[in-house]
Amino acid sequence: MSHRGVLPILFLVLFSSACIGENGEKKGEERIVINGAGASFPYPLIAKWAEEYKKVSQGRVIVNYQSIGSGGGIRQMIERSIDFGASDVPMSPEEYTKAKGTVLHIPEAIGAVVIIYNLPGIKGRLKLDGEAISKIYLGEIDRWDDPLLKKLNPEIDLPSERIVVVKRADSSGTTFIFTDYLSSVSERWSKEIGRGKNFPFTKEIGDRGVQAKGNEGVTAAVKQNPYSIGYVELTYAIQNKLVHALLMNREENFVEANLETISSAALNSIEELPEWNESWYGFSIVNAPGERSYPMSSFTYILLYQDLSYMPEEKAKALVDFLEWVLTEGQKYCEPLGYVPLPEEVVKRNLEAISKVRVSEDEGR
Amino acid sequence: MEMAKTKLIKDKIFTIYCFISLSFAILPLIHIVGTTLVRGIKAVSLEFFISLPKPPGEVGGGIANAIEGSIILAALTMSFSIPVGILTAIYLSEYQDNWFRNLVRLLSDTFAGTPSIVAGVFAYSLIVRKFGFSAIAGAFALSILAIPTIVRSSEEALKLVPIDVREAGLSLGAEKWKVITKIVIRAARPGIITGILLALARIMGETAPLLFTAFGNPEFVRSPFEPVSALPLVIYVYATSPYPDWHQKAWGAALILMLMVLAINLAVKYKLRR
Amino acid sequence: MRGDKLFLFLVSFFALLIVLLFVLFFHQLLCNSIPTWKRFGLSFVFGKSWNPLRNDFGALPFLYGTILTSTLSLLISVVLSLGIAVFLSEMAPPRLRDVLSSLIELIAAIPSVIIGLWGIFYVAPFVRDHLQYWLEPLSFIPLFSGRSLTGLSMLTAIIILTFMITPIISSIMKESLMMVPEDLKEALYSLGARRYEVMMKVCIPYAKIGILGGVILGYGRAVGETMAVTMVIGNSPVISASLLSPGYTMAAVIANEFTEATGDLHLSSLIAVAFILLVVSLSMNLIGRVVIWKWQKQSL
Repeated sequence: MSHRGVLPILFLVLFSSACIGENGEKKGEERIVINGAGASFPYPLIAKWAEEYKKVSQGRVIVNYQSIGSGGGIRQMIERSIDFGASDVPMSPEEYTKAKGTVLHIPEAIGAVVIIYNLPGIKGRLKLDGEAISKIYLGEIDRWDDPLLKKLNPEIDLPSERIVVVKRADSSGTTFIFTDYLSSVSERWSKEIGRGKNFPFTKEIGDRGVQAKGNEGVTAAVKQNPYSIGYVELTYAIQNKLVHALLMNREENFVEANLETISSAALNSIEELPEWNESWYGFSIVNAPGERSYPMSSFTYILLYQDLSYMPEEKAKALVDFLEWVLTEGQKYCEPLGYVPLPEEVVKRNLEAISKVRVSEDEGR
Repeated sequence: MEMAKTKLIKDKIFTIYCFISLSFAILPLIHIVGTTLVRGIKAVSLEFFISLPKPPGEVGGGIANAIEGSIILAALTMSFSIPVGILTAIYLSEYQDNWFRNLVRLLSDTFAGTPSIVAGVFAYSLIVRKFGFSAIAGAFALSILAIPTIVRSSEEALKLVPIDVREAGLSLGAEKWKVITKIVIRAARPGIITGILLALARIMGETAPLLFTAFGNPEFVRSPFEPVSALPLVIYVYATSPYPDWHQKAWGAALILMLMVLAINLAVKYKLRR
Repeated sequence: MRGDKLFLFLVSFFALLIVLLFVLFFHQLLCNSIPTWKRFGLSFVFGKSWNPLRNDFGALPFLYGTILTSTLSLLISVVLSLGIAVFLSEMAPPRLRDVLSSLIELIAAIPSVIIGLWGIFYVAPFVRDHLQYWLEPLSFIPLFSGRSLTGLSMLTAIIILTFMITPIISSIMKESLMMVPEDLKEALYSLGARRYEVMMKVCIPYAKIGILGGVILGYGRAVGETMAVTMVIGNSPVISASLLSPGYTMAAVIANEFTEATGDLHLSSLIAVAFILLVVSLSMNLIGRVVIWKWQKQSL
């Protein structure tokens, strides 16, 4: 019988290869795995931190971050199926009441949402204002050579092609920042659609609309489709070498999203920062004042429970240590990826918040 | 004569139609396998097999975590579903017919039509909500898909074993359970293994139930209670990403997955089926 | 004898486990979707809008997308499968038949995520750049009106689904056709009938119930297919008559939104969609199997 022994061999192979994987790493003290999930906005940054922190901790602390969208991060935080969440939107009061305890919002970096587009053969930088973007996303403007777009971009020869409008399919902080901005500049937008982690396309958009998952998906959709427009976190535009539009800010200057303009937006809003134990809902730095402020900027937050005594003490400590590292040493990885490091004032507040975290049952309060 | 001519023409048309239908199935198959081979091979290197993924946007790294994850998930799933599947099949084939037996068979057969994504929802609400994302939760969802295949093929294989074999054993004074485990199962082994391998091939390629159970993990795992990555999961995430390097890796992962699945299917076809 | 009792106990336990799992499965899906059924009742199934922002949920866009894509792909697939089944059972010499049958079975073995990968990089661009222009003469039919700017459309999903379910349907059809008794065919051939007549007049009528079973099983598969469809359908909850516009299916919306639904009603609505999907595909599977089983019994 030729099949005799097939099964035992199969299992031997399965298990032994599983073991190779596990032994491939340096054996040492107990390894700690911290699971996080949420926004795709800071994903490249958190993944970079995870890689660097593994080196710093000599392989002892593994941070597993999955990019599932801000909505997902908040939901999995509420369910406690992950150890920390990440979101670009503070939790809403409704979400807050569902959470199993006080949730801390720790801003970990500042980023910007940029408008990317795919106009084959067109050189020069597109210029847009809030009105134009909202009209494109409401479906009022359906062609690239619309008078309004022409007026904003007299030097560009805009094609007479229909605009493919790309938005996020998932519940996302990037969308929140985007709609937050549009709501603050366009009356029709604020009335008909409003702020939210997701919004439906209007009828006028019809078959020109495309929905894609994650910043990754939107970037891919814009790259793959001629005459499309989309909104993504700045990093994704940089990494993929996509040009992004210049936006008109509150003082009516066209600005590019970069280190300087994003910091300017953050610094001009610093006085409105909530205290560590207050609700962060409603805090926003879109359309911030300042001559050079980029209007679609935002903090991105790490979410964790103040009381971590539900997880093993070792893990809670490792999580706190990791966050401290992120806020201090880790900030140097922001810039190369297109994020803006936190201003000192924010770091100070964060460290205070983290010091309030309870890591074990028996810790005196 | 005129009629014979039209008949001949109709027959020709019919033949052409059959031939075209066949090519509509075969040509895309060749294209898929061909492109996966061509694009996949470009991604494959030693590094691809043994190293961990790099942060998004950085070039390099590999998918060792996903290969390990797939193997762990397969091993866990099989260790859940082989005992359940075979023992249920024994109950179905070796014991008296009654309403309960028919019910079990009916339900097991019905389970075979479960959409894989719904199995994931089930595993999420039952396991993940209480214990978090883990390889165990992923394997549970995959087991829902694997068990019906194993039950069905094992039952068929057991039924094919002639009654004489059992009677011979029993007449020698052996207890029934010994006859079943020592003699009947051995005789039915090729069929049972076929079923197991087919189930294995199916679950190795499943993505949907893993999205919110196994979840993914850029590192090697050390315990089944940690989230874990898998080849199909990596293919999905990489394919929908904007990074050309990740696209290439998606094809590489697809190549490896395809070879695994095809190898199992070919093994079934040529070694086990008589 | 004690050993026997113990063993019976053991195997019955596992059989019972299957029943328990089944009950638990339905229980979980039903219980967790109660808020949705309470709030919307049956109108959930026919609600046209799916808007998590306004807490307004209706499953119709997904039901529509699922039924439209799977029904159309089934129709195309039946036509193709019949040709394949006839070719394999009647025309091909045994050697060739074996080779071709295994190749077709191979299609069913390719993981759906790989087909989705292929769909994104080859089928969608093909639809965008070529197929829709070839279909332009048909654009007076609402089904083919409009234009897909991305190639991610219901049409693309249908192409992919057709490809995925054809092996299932054609192999059951082939087996049904091969069970037609030789003497029936011989009788007609001896009267000077051509092959297509024999097929149309004898084989297909004789095998029709087996064929029907295969068709129903294929439908169940198409309804539940997740990854390949999610990757190419464009994921847009609109109800559009045109196949060139993006759509959404039940399986795809669960895959996309399940981990992120923060509102209770959103989550429970997704589970309600899962419940509908489960009921639809399990009943398809059940009916298909019963039909095949009845037919096998009758033809023995």
